[in-house]
Amino acid sequence: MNQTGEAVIKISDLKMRFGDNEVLKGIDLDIYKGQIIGYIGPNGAGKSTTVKLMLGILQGFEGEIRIFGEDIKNGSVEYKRRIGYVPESAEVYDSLTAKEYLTFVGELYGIDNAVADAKAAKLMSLFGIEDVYHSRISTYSKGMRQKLLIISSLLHDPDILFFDEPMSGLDANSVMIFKEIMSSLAAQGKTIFYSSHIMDVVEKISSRIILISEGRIVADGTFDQLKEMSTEGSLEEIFNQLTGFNRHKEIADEFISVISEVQP
Amino acid sequence: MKEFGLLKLLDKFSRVFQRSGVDYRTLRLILQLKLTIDSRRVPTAFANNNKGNQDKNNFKRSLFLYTFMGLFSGIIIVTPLPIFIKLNLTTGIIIFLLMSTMISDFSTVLLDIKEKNILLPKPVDGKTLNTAKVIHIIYYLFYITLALAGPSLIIGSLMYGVAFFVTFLLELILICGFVVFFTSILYTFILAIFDGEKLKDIINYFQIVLSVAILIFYQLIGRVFNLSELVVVNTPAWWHYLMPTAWFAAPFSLILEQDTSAYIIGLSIAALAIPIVSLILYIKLVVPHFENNLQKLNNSAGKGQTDSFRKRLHSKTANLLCSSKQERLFYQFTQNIAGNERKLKLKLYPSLAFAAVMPFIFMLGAFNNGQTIAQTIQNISDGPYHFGLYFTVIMLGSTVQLLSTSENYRGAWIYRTLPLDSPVPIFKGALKSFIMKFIIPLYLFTSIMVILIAGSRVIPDIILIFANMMIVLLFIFKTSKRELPFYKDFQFTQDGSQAGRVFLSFFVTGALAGIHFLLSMLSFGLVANIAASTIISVLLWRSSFKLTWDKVSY
Repeated sequence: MNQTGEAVIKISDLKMRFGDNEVLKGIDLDIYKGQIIGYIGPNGAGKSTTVKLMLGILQGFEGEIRIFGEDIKNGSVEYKRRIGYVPESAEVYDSLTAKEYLTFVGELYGIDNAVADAKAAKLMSLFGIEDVYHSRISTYSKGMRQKLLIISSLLHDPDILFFDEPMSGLDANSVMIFKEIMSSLAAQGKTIFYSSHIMDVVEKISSRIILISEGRIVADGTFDQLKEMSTEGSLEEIFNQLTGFNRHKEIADEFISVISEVQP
Repeated sequence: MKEFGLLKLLDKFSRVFQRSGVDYRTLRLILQLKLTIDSRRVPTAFANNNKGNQDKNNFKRSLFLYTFMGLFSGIIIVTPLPIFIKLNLTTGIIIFLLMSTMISDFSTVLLDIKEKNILLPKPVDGKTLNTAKVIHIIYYLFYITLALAGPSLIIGSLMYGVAFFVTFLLELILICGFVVFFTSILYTFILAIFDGEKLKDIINYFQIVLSVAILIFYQLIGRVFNLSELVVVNTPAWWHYLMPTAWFAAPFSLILEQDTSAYIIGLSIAALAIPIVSLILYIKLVVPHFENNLQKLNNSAGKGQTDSFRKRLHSKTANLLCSSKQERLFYQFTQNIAGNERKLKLKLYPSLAFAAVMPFIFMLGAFNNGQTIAQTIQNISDGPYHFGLYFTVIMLGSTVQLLSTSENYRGAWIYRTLPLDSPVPIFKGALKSFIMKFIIPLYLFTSIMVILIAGSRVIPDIILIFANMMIVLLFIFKTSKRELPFYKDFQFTQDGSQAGRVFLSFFVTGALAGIHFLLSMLSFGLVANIAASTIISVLLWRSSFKLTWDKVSY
């Protein structure tokens, strides 16, 4: 992948602790335009912490994070105008309608209300959910909510995108649309941070894979490069190997035997 | 989204906001969002919809309630006490009620983290967000303040004229601001010192203690007429300067009585200065640090505690009291949830504390001036003051309704997936557990205190009151909608049908108390009454549990 010009995101020696627990132990990362980063790691490795720090949801880190060349510690929130985020937890203001929510978000990002409205309506119809544009989000199914979240993250044409399990709840057709959207965005020069536990998707769409485990980066490269690093074939197996995990069969067997024990 | 009057008002101050570093455009957007959401507070999701359209009016209803409470402070103005004293009491009531509202209702707003996850990734800085929250709170608090202080405002203006009106109105603004800032500063300190789960617990206890203190104080105020003969001369003391009520009462002495002593002037200056100082402190201390420290609420690194002795004790009692295994399970389940869930505790504990304290406040009526303590106690043991326990009965009875509420009410889906052919063990186990955990210990505690004061001759009465309490409890239980325990969310404010039931239970309790009183005058009346009440409660118990799934809401 071509790495032209300045790093869009530059993280230097990032450390973060919660109380006594050091969650991030020194992360160094340079991200360039047009890259789709598959950001993976076991639970508790520090993935969401890194993302939240970059988004400014969490504060109090050591080290440096520069986004678009600016040190985010200086408190300015301007860089956020060029970032879009789809969180894993799908939190939205339920009691609003899609129109209200999307125009609100659009205006927060500095888009004029009428423009945001028109854009949002069109995007909703492209995703096939224009019927519920004026209905309250609390009535939506999981898939509809997810589509709404995706729209809200892209409405302002951001340059960096953070996606955390963005396709959860989407049907196969929508998944295909979304994958296409992502590769077009990357081709345009946008940067995408894609975090997921579904290894085969990550394997196929990422141009660069970063594996984080116990607060450190243990692998950083293309899928092919990673394959050379290890002796395994699929990303899932590489993941297991690099995070030192090989007991899955053992644990599964024990699980089944516990369940099927005769009741005393 | 709609336009709101508040927003138009704020537009006039947009430059002030901009200059103090707040992004006004964003602030406006966020406030508009919050107001829109408020006007649509979603009703709790259950099948029977007689609560359907009430939520728009819930706030208005609670305003009526506040106005009613405010009447008491209004009545104080009519008494023939010196202005300074009266206003002290009046503002005292207002401030305490405001603080309790602030703490119980708005803490959740102030300490909300979920919202940050939605808004912070957007170009919104912490300062703007915090300002939006505070303005939002002040907006509602002001309505509540007006409701609370309305009666006093009107009565006082009628008695003292325009000067009173203007002063009071201005002071209301100051009081409102003071309460908000003071509470926020307090929270900031707590947040700075503690963290994680401990923090949530501390805040919870703090809320409970304050709510209880307020209830008690409020009741004591009701006794002011008894005490008014004692408090006549007000000699300025240094500690008066620490009382917020004194600050706010002083300007009235200044303006209405032309009292220009240094004491009064000093206090009046405090009334103006201290809210402003707290505003400044707020801007300096709270705004930068509050939101950051809020993150601590998210970190729960706490390890669980296993209190094995208590657990063994509980399981032994569970075995004794419950007849089936399923029942025992729900007994244990209720013990765990009711013992741990903060929101439930916050609703429950103040009622319990109030129930414990009521009889003693009732007993204050025994105080006649000029008697010694010993004589007063003699009064109490001879008199019917132990009937104050019936107030305990009412309070305790009403708490049963809380059993169907929980913060995690959404977890109630699990009831539907369990292979239970009858809901009876759920209800039995839960009710027994509730009674064992809360009602009985509290009743025991309170009645022992009463016995200590009133003497052992009231023991038969205590037993009878217990039996009657069971009747009231079961009555409320039986007439409530059959809802599974921990199955619905808390209402934002009190709701109509609950209030109706509570009033009905007043009548029942009153009737039982009346019968008790009459029969106690006959020689075997008490024994007969005890027998009758016990039989009635047993019958009620049996009939309360004739349930099948289709009669239950879930």
